[in-house]
Amino acid sequence: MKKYWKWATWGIIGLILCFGPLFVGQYFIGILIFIAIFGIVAMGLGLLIGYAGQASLGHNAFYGLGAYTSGILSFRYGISPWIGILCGIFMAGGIAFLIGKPILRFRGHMLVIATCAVGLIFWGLFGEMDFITGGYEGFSRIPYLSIGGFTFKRDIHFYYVVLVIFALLFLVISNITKSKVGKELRTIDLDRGGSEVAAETLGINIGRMKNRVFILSAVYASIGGSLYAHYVTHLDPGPFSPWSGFLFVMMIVIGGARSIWGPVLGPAFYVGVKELISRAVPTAHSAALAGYEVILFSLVFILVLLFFPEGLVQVATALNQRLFKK
Amino acid sequence: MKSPYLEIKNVTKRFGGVYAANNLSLSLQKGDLVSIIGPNGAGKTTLLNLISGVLPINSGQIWFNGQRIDKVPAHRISYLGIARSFQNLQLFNNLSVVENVMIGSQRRGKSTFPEVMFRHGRVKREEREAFAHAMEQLSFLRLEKKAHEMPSSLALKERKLLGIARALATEPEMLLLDEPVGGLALSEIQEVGKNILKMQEQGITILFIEHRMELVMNFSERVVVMDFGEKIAEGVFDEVRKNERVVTAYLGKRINEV
Repeated sequence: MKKYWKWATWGIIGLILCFGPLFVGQYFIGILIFIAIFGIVAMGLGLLIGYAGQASLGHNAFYGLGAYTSGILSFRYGISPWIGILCGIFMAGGIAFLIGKPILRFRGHMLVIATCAVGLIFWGLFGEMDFITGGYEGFSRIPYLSIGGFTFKRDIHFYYVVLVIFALLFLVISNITKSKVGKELRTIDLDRGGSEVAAETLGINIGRMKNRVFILSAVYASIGGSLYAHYVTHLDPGPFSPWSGFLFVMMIVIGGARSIWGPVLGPAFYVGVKELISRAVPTAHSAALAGYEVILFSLVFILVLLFFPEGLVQVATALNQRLFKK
Repeated sequence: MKSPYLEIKNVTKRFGGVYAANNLSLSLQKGDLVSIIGPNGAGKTTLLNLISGVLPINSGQIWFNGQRIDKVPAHRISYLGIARSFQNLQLFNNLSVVENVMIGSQRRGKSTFPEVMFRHGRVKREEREAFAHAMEQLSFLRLEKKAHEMPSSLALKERKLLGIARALATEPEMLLLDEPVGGLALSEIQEVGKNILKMQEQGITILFIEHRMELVMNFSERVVVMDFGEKIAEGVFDEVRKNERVVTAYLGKRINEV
């Protein structure tokens, strides 16, 4: 009986995601696209934070690397955006490989601060390397994604591209968490009762594992960033600031760091709250709005965690228990 | 004379000014069942940490099965066939009992990371095999009924056995046990002791540290006594307990503390 309900729910969600957007306005489709993009970043980061228990407040760096690599290659050098996304992956993955080795030797607060530093460095580079990145003003007219002759310019078309990519990436993370790799990752989560020394003496190469998850999370962030670039078609350092580095972590934590759904609920919650804030606050100046967003979302973040320490997933699980497991 | 299976050659380990191992030499043959005893602070656990690669040595050499292992990282030493349990258990409290053991069982699998990402058929098959293998280890130690419980809900004896089951799942050639029966009742010590003998019958070389003499007396072939990082006696239990240095080491300390 339980399995029937599970498939039914999946089926309904699938149908809504596939056909729902055909009936709603562009505004809502745009919201869904952003939720998906943030969700992609959050998924990878969630594996690092929630499963491997390693913090990173600097993933705006990889998000931005994906965006700028893909944006610059396609705008300035006419390279196909798909190749641009691939290049972004190698760029972010390569840099994650290089900095991962030294950084992941840190523990606890030191690691957090080190990752903050990484986020700051790249945000600075995006702004200062104006000969490539267009500096603080940025650049526009980044090409859209296209296949054959068809260009994914309209929101509704781009939505399906993002949906497919999101679904594939979600499947990969789901496979990882269910597998032996997922179990090994959990063994090194010290906060939750893991034991690094036991893991090592059982043959787990902890250093290598942390590096790999770090690289994977950087790749996910990069894909999200590239998709952002080819959607908004304008890039400046704004969305890749340290605030967004914090924001990604906040999204994961608020959604539920230990669950595979957390990185989906979190971004949905963030985007929802942000839209509400923009309604409630007179949008005289986009900078002022940004300020309100920071203040109010941070407050909301603390409040939600006070009542739901495991994140919003706690709410969903409670509902699930009540409704389906009588 | 047959060359030793495990050989600790003039090993020294310092923590600041304290010698946890002081020019220590010790050897085991394949199939041996040896216990290590000694007062607190003698360096027994440190010795296990040095062998298993958790801590580096300062000088000397450690050889296992013809290979030098003192500079090999812990996870590789595991692959060379050495497994261990811990005095303070170090169980994965966030994994179930069988999942704890699967960590040992599953590494026999050959699935690569890309295969895992896309859940290739082999991945699922190997998971089933790892699960079955883990259940075998649990059955061997009579823990199979608790397979899906969390370690925190187990009694102390069961948790100790779980630590051993997890180590066994790596199919080791040599097993290092750190106080496998600390805190257990006499009947439980008998049970664990019999399991140790069963493991020896399967060809595993066993070295264990203990304070509980019931285990040492009845379930080891040879006893090594350590104090201040040195080996002060070695032999069968009856010889060793009469050794003057050993008696002084145990009693002498207590008198000094008064």
